Amino acid sequence: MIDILELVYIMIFTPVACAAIITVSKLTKFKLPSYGNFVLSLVSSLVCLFLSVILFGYTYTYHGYVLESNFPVCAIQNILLYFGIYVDNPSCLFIIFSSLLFFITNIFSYRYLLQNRQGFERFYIYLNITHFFTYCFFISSNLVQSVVFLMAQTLMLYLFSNFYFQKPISQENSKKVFITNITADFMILCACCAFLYFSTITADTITIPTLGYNNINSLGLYSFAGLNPLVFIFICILFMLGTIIKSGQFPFSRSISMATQAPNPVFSIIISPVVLASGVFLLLRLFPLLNLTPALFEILKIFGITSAILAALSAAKENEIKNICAKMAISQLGIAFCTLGFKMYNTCVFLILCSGFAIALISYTLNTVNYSTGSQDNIKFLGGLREKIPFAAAAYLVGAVSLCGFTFSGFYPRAFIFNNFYMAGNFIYLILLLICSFVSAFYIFRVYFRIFEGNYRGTFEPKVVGKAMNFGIIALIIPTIFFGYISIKYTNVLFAFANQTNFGNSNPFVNVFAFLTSAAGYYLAYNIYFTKRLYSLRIRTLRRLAARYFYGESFMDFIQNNFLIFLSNLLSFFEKYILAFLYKLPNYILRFSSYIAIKSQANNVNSGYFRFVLWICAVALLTCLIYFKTGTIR
Amino acid sequence: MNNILNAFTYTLLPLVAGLIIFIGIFKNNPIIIRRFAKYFSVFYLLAGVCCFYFKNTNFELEQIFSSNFTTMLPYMGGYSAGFDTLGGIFAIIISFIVLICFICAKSTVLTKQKIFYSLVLFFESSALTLISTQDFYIFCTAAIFGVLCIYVLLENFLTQKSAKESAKNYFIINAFFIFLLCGSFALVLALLAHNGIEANIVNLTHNCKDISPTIQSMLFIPLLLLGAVKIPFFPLHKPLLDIIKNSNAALSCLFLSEFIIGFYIFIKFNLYTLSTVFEIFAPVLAIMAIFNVLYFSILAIGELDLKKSFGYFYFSQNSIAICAICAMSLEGITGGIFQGISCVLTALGLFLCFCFASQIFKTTKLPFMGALATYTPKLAAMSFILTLSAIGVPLTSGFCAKFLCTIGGFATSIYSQNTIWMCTILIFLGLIVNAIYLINTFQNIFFGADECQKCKKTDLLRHRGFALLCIIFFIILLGVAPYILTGAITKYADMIVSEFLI
Repeated sequence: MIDILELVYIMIFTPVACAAIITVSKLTKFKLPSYGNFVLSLVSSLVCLFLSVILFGYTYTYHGYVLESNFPVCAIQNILLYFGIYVDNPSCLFIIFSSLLFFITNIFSYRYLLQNRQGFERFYIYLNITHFFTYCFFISSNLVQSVVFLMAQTLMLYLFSNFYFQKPISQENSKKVFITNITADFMILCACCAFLYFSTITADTITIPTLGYNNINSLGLYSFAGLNPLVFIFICILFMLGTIIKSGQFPFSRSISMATQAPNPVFSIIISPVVLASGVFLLLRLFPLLNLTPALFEILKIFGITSAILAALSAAKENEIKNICAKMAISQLGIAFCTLGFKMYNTCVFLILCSGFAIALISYTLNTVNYSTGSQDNIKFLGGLREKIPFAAAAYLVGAVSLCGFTFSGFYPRAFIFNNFYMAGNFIYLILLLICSFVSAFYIFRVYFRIFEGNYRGTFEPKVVGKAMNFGIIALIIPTIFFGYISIKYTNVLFAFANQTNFGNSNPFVNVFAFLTSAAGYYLAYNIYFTKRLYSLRIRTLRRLAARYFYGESFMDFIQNNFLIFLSNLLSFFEKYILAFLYKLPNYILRFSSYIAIKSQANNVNSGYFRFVLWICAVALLTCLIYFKTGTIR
Repeated sequence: MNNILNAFTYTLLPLVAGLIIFIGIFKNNPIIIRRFAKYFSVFYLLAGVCCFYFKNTNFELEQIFSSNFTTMLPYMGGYSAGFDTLGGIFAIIISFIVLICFICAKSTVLTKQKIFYSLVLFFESSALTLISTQDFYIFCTAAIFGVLCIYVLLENFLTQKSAKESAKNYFIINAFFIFLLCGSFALVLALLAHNGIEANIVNLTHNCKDISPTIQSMLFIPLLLLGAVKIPFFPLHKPLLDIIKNSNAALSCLFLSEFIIGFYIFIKFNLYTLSTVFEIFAPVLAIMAIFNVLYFSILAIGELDLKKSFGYFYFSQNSIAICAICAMSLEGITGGIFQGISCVLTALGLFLCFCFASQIFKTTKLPFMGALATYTPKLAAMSFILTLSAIGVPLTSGFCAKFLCTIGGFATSIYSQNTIWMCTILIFLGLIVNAIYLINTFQNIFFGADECQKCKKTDLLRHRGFALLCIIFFIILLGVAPYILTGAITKYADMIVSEFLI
């Protein structure tokens, strides 16, 4: 009988085994065909999906059960570093979600790679390793382990962004992605080390092996009680900023826009909660710690709402499909951050998962559009595809309706958030979120009308999408429609960590108003891009606001590129001239002394040049004497 | 075995091997000379590992491998040599570096092989003697002999006039501090003799508390300056930088041994033996180290010369180790030593990769490099792993080192709490700037436009690939199982920390 713990290990290491087989086959004579790589990877992801469902079933059976296991890695005095697994409800949900996405990515990738005909093995190796790191991150039993796998994810993000390593733009973008992410990782690492040390010294009376999530609450309390408040606040701020950068919130969203160079199917993973929300997941894990300094939640609120609105505005003027998807994800994550800022822990998880399914559905649907139109990425050159790929159009509509909060899964978390804000009297944030909903509905339906309605404006004859792709989309439509409802119906099962009162009373007035706001966005998009009645109005203000967003991002680029180079050149000047002169100075002094000594020995003191030098020295000496005597030169 | 291969003969073996080459037994036959030197280094490395491992599997704190006999003047107490835990680890690393240097020399040192191989072996002998000796004057002699070997090597193998000038400066600065040190040693020796204590390094360590802090400072400062030239510290880095810029792959490796020597002097003497004075100097040193980290990392970003920019990067990484040590906590010292070792291994690998790349492009200017990954995938893959380790990505030694250093930074016991995290933040800024530099450089060399289409772009030769594989193996080994080193280092660090008054 296999133990549940062994099942978890099998689930984690299946992708590693798959990657190892593909690598060995690539390096040896037994080269697998491209189809073989695909099948192997698909089987691996299916096994993982199956096992993750079993794992979820296990936690369902034993309600509120937490699976935990640790093994030591390193010990320095009383700091013991462990690796292990910690599976609870949120991690189970995220694991199922990521397994499903990897399965669908496998389905989509084969057709995609056939189109480009390069890097089959490399793609599947990267994909499976990313899969492994993602699992390891979600089941991390302690903070150190989470940081390790967060950094590993950064590495995979870099490799995927630089997948087409011969394209200059992909090289440049991958570099920026890496730099932004590694900055965030170092921030989190710094905070982690500080917390690790301070919690160990303040809580040395109890035996705490490492920063385990099972006792993060007590560790936080010990540190909070025993530490200088400034140090504690510093740790929390670093954690928050790190996760904000990691999740691509404004003004650090450049990294996500840059990741558009990743292969299409993988890009959908990058912008899904599997990778992008890993920062939020870490914050959720650290919630008990951050809860001790409530004032800092303002940071999350401000960054969250700013990103949500600016990203939505920016998406409203974008024409590239991938950029629109990226901004969509950033905007939704912004709302999640804002929600977390109001300490709505459960709603935040609920929102991430609900919007995650919808975003994944939209991005994979747009992948099929891309495939059908021969890699056409600009919505200006698309249109009328509803007749060619009706299934994709329907799927997009499902995703759009859900994401705008009209109905399906997306409706519930939004309703909770609006109601909560309304009841708590946070009207400013409520209005800002309504604005965000309006703009979101506008750009999401703008994309729909641009791609699926009107006349086709491209040159490439659109082709019909295969059944496999449609199957992948169906696999996402089901949770997009039903996940929210099931979650509400069986709250205790899916969200055992949830406080049910959060999902309680709702105000019909707020719900109707939220619905109408989104409907207004839809109506505007309809009139501009479908009936073209208001086409001349194409909202210049939106463009201008979106440009502001761009300036914010560009500022970060400026710091990365120009400012550091300028500083470096300045120091280089110092090295080249001043320091080099200082090195030569003793040499000059020695030569000068030697010259005087030689001249004086040769009884050649009366030479004009020598007398001139002596005079100069005498004058300099006299000047110094006067200066030190009187304090100034007159 | 104990009688035949003791610490004394162990340190003298490279000298004998060097002499065999130098006196002309192989009649200037470059192939035989090279093979002899290479096989000797392999044997020597394995012998070293076996000796250190079998002599004491637990890496005890006391001298694990020693010999003692009277040859010098009676009042000096005779010559004794011994390796402690750290000395043992550093001796193995130096042997490894010399082996890698010989492997790389096959294609980079094409003339004057006799001089090159014999001098490198002389240098190795002097470095190990410096690490193992318990005698003041042997210490100074070994130091000056090592620097002399380096100088002669550079004079023979550097072509540019400015580089030769830098080599001369390097020698002069080193010699100046060594002579200064001789004077200080003489003073301390006289003091110890006055108190009726046999004057050697072990006795100095045990009786240092009896000597006044002023006298200790007189010993501390020359030792610190000597270490600062080799590690190096601002503003003493200039000659070393110019030399690195102009030297080939094989010579570049040797400067990593110089760092090991400087680092050992810093830990053994400045930190352990003269711990009382170190407590006074630690804040200043920490601030200097932080300044170094930032200064060098920023300089590296804008530099267009590959070797020079890498030199800056390497200096900034070394300073991180020093900064962690200045925390004077168990975690800090462990992290600092681990960072030092990790930095040497990573820098060794990256030095080689970048030297190979500059050989292919026949230039060291970054704008004239690019698209090498297409032609040399093995070199690109290995460079990538080494780059990741230098950045500090998990599962590489760099991550463990930086992790330990950061904990050490927070665990400092000498500063007020308000300055602790300021220091650590500044170090992290340096790390981020370093990461930007490394990824920029890697992309610049291996991706981008092909700037030299006429260059002959062949992938790694077998011997070079083997050398890089060995380095990568150790980097990953230390990343996956850091306890291999941390166990031994922690004990050593614990011994040092027990010496502090605070």
